[in-house]
Amino acid sequence: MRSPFLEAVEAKRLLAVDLALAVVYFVMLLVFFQRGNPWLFWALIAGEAFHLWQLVALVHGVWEPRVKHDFDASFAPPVDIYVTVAGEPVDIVARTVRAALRIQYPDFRVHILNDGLVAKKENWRDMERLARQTGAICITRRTPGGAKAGNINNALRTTRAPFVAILDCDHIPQPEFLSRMMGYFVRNDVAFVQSPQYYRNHATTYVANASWQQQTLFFGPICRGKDHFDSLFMCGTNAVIRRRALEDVDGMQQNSITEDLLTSLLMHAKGWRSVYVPRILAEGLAPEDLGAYWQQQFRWARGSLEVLVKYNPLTLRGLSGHQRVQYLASATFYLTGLVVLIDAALPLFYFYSGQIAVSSTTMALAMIFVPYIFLTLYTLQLVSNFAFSFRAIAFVLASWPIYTWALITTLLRIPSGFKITSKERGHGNYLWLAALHIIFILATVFGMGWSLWRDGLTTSWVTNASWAVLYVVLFLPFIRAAMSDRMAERIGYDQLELPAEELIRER
Amino acid sequence: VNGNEAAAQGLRHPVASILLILAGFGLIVSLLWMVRLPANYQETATLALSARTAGQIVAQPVPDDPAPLYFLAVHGLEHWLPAKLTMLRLVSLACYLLTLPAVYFLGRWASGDERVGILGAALVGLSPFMLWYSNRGTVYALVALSGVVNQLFFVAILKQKQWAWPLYFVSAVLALGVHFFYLAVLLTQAIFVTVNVRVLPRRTLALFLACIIFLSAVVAGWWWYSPLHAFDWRQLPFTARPIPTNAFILVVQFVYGFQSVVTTTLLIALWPLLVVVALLAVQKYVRPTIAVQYLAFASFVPVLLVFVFSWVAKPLYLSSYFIVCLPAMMLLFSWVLVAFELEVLTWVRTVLLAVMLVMLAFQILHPDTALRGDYLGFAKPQTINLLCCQHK
Repeated sequence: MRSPFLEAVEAKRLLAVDLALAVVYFVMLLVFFQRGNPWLFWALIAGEAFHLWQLVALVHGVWEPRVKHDFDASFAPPVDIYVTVAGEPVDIVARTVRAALRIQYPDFRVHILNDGLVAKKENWRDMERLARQTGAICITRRTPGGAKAGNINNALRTTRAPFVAILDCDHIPQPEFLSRMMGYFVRNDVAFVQSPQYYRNHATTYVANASWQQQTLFFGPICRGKDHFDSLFMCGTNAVIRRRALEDVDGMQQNSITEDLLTSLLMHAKGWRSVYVPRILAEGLAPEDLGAYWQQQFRWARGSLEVLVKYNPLTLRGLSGHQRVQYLASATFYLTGLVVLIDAALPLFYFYSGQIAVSSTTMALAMIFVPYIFLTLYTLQLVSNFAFSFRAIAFVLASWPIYTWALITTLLRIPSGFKITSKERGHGNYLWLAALHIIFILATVFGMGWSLWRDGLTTSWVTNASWAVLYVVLFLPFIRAAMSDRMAERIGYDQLELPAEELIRER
Repeated sequence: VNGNEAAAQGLRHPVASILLILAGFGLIVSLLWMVRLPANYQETATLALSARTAGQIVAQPVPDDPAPLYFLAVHGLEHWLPAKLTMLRLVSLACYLLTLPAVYFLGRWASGDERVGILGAALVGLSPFMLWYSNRGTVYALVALSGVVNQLFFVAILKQKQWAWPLYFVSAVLALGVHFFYLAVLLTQAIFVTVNVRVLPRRTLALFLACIIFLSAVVAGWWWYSPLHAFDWRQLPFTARPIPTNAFILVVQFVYGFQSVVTTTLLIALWPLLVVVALLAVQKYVRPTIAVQYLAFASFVPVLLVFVFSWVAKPLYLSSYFIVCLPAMMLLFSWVLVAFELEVLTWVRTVLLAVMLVMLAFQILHPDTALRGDYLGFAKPQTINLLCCQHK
């Protein structure tokens, strides 16, 4: 299945102009304006330097969106399909297993990697029953350890095929799943082939929709770009891996909660290559409530930041310069949380202390910043073939408490186990997860009143109030996601509006 | 693609009603308030300049506005109507009334969405900046109208309508004949075509190139015919080199009119809200058509060109000149506001229109403030001397 977000869009001129504007803006901010409080100024500069780095990495990645790989449709070696399970509802697993058994490919076997026993889930026997009913093979792990990576490594010891396909238990593969991917292994140095994640439930809840909209940028232009530089990493599911490559790095890495990222990194460091297939070959489930979303994002953030700390891509031997840039970009992405926290706090500092980071009497800063931000947003839209959205941006930026907590736990080495993203929707209200956002809004409202009383209506007040409003607007979708549907309905928050078909509307 | 064809069909009658209401509103504002304003310097100059013979108007153009069509039009009208201030202002008002449906069609054609046209017409119709010049006996209301008409045909060209070519060419000549500043818009169109050279069909590129060559020939002919080629351009209206604040003042004036320095400064300080608007406009699978992309160009590129020209060659930055960008900018805002499919944005649109109305009331109640944004506010003695010479 093709979807607009998977189309390759070239935007070199726009990317170059955007990058140039970003550099001009950064230099102007650094050099030309009157500095306010030095702490606030340098915090702002650090944040802007991070944004500049992110843009550089984006431009580097999406500059050349088309990649050509060797493909031989007749190459069809045996494949073991692993459906990883750790206590998920049996009906969800059953759909995936049945779909896997219907895959059109000459030589493959479907294994249910049953981790329910070691995860102490009540339904672990149901998986063995399901395997008997469907004709799949159930591998129930008896020795705990290593979470999902341990489960896969356990299966590797009991299966023999030279290639293994990984499917999360909610990812229903299409019949051509293997035939579209295996042909790329005709090259002996290809370690894994990855296809995008697609959430079939993206129209069911507000959170699922926002999660999906976030994914389109990653699985669209970013993965294409990473593919260009052999720096694509496995995404936990919808991938086929060469057994020899896995053995070369001692199996899936069990010492990380993002085992897929770390394993890919080590494979690339050993000279293995990767391929991205921009085609939806399996459909899974997005987190449907904020609790599940939080869990998923925290796991990704924590795992990525751990890779940054323990396996710094800048110093890891064997990687090319391009691979270092791309891996570093992925690992540092979750520092966004800290940067958003700094940026959102700046207006509050003004409201409560009168301190500012930078002062500009002309509008020179805005004259550069406004076109820069407009162009950046348009560029993001263009390279994602207009699949990106405000809701996605808002969710990424409003996830700052998750990312910041992940950073703190990483730096303090607070242990964190592998928690599987829930495949079922919780119907509660998760307002406590948005407590910091609500506090920010209250602090903003009170601070605006306080500083207005203190200073009167000044341009500084108006500008800082406008910045604060910007963050309030960005945090609102997250707060909405934290509410129960009934509560959202009662306050008249907008209902989910989703096109039945994903089509681009020109207007 | 229009959101809902059936709904669009059903909206035809309300569109006419809305445009009539807007026109009626403009008329009432004009008749009750604006026409009572005393004559300003430019109006007096216009009356004097157009009182000359047609031959003199063509042969001796005014250096700071060498395009003769407006003066010729006023001169021609003097045969039927008395050449008084009221007549001049009625001409501007008529231009305003014609601009509203033109803006509606421009928005509708560009976006394919009727709502963009309606909201655009409302924003233009209620713009205190637009209403100010629509009630002044100066060239600017005609500049706005001729600009919209030319851009209407340019958009038709972008939509591959072959019939639009001759109309585009004629309207470009006329717009350029009304005010030399339209050159900035034509240059913008040329840049837009160049940027989209891979997207547009070859035939369009060839015809556009032909138009540019013909237009250049017309301008060159006029240049050599008139005594302008011997004119010392240093005598053009003296304006200071623009700074970034001027660009923001321009946008604030378009939307909120000529306000006091304090109010304008506070309104400019709201600029981070532009980022909010930009963020909200990022909507999944909503892609601007090439014509909407042109509206974005037409809103800002002329400003950029004049900025560059003013710093490189000769300061030439007067907010009144930029009236030609106003309809495109308002239509761009409309497109963004209509692209939002959030319930809350109905409120945003309503609040925006309400604030514009309040600001219009402020402008009407304090007409002296408006003069600060007018030509005279920027003029220096040497300009006045120059124009006085032409009077003789």
